[in-house]
Amino acid sequence: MKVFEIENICYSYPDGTKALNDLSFSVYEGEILGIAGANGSGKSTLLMLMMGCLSPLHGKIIYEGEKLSKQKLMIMRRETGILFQDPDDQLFLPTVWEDVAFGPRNLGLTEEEVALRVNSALRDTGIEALANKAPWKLSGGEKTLAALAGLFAMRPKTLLLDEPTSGLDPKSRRELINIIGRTKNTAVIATHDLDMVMDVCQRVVIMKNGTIESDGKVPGVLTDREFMASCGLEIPLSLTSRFS
Amino acid sequence: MRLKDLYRTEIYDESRGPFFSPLVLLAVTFVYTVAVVSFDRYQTFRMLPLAAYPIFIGSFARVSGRDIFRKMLTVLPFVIFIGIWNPFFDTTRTEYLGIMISMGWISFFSLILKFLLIVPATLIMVAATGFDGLCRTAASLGLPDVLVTQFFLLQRYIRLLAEETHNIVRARVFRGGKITVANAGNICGPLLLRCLSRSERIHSALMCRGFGGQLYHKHRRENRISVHDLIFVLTWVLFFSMVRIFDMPVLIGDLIVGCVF
Ligand SMILES: Nc1ncnc2c1ncn2[C@@H]1O[C@H](COP(=O)(O)OP(=O)(O)OP(=O)(O)O)[C@@H](O)[C@H]1O
Ligand SMILES: [Mg+2]
Repeated sequence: MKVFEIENICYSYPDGTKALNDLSFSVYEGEILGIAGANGSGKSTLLMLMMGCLSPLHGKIIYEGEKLSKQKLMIMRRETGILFQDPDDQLFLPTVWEDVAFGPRNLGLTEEEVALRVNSALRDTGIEALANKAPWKLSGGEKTLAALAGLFAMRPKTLLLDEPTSGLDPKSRRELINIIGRTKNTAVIATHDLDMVMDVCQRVVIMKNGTIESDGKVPGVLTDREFMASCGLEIPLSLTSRFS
Repeated sequence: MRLKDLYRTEIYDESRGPFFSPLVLLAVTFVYTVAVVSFDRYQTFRMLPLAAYPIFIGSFARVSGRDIFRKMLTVLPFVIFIGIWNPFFDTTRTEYLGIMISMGWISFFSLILKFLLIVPATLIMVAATGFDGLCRTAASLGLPDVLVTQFFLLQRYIRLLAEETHNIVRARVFRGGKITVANAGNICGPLLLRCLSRSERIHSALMCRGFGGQLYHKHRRENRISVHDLIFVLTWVLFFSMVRIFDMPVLIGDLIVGCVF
């Protein structure tokens, strides 16, 4: 089943920057889809559109077979969690614990349920020790982990992650990859971390200047050195050592 | 004071947690403020015993005295500016502690004293409960959610403004730029745009997590008042009333004089 269907989407920012240009693809249930592309290729913009934070100038976004109306948008947001590229935009409340509890509380859960979910999300991301700290006093990577905990606590069916591994140390990165690898959820990951794409994604979409250059199985696309170079990318590090 | 500190309301060590319940502190500080303000404009030393309250909560809440002092210094010039006109308009002369001065000076002195009593107490209260604690108390007291949420968002955006200002100024200074009155415009313009786009993103993030306009949910009961809280409130209210009704410094003075002689 298709979770998201993106059909001929165009988007320009108010200042005239053309960020996405006639772009179509689908996200299938249960798959982990990577989105790669050079800086400014439109990855973050695409995720914001999928979440309904921006509305497309042309084209449609279909969620579970229905066009995103106001009501469908509410349902979609209950079932989908997004990690923003800048975790500072996401952390809001005075302590990490409260912030992680924000989503579950909005779902209308009881306080016991909320506490259960928050604690397990903090455990999964390995930041239990930071529970009482103010989010703006965290390090960059800790902020990412706190924002991720906020997502996990909502137990979404679908995850949209924008650069989830940027700023994480190798151990946290590995743990995150394990978490993503373990989930049976659908996930869309926009990233420059092609090694992570190799590890966890079944399919990858390569973007260039707001369009899709390639959409295919992971090892196939990522090993084409010439094609990758034409999109301003390189083949994953783990492959370079094998090929040279 | 560093620019980033401007938005810091929680001065206390956050791992310790608030010492008094926010509701109790709010209530007592309110009564305290009313007591201070109710002294008439020529009364001075009579209200001094009230200082016991800020000193007490300050020492228990472990608020840093230096922070409070610095925050007070920033407000003091305004108070002086308001009060300094009194001596010019109110020139009736009177005898005060054995010297002849104008009534205006006494009321100026009284105003400064009131400032010195109220502002630290309020600062300590905010510091000891935290902004979130105050919002929560307000919500649990039945203030409309819309209002409390606005109040909370307001402080979040003030912090955002401070952060962005800090970032822009730092970015300039590190690349050898100088901040002058002339180029302040070049800073304010981008600052406003940055704040706008960031607050848009923050808003998006809130919506994505199912925000429906309510930060403080009804089923969260924060303010259970214990006997210990009740005693705290009653003791202080009694003390404030005593200071208000009797001239304590004179009474104590008489008592000492009476004992000695
Ligand atoms: N708020 C904005 N206003 C105007 N243009 C913008 C805005 N945000 C992004 N852009 C432009 O839109 C294009 C796509 O940006 P986007 O953030 O989606 O890229 P990205 O693929 O996420 O890049 P990165 O890998 O660096 O995160 C870029 O050319 C960028 O300059
Ligand atoms: Mg991006």
